[in-house]
Amino acid sequence: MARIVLTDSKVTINSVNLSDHIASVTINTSTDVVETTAFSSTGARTRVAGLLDNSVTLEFHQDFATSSVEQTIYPLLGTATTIVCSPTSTVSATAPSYSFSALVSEWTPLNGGVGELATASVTWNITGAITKAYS
Amino acid sequence: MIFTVTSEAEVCGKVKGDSLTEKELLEAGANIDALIAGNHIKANTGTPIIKPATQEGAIN
Repeated sequence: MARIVLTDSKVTINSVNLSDHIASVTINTSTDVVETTAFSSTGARTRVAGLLDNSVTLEFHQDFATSSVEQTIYPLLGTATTIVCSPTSTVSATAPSYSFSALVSEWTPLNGGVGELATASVTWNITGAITKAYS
Repeated sequence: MIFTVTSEAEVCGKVKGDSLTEKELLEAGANIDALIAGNHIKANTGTPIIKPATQEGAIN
């Protein structure tokens, strides 16, 4: 796949496709760095990778309409929910999907100033592994 | 149990008016209570129609 400009990314939260109300998606994945330095003639620190730590950051366009953003997210507060993200709306051999369970630990139902679009930007920690799949 | 999609958004790849089984939702990892609370799906409460069994080879 060539370089990609994100225009048609897909994000489903609790199996609901909210892509048309999400302006940004970031899946963050990193590992702990565990130091293993011991006495050695090399005089340099040594390290190994520890536990994976993943999170997802989403920017929503808030919408209070029936079955839209607020009604989807608010009942999930305090629970772990399934999220599936992909760079394009159709998963293919060159556009994978990423599935994971995220803890809905924060939500900003109302955010914005006068004349601004009401948005909600959240970062939710992922519990467990991320499953990457191609079709 | 069977559910009907009432959401304006796609749910489990289905659109408004489509049916979803409990199995499909659970396999997708969905929180069914939250989907109902969010007006995305509603349970079909109608009584299923049960047709009387016909015996094979019965003589009328």
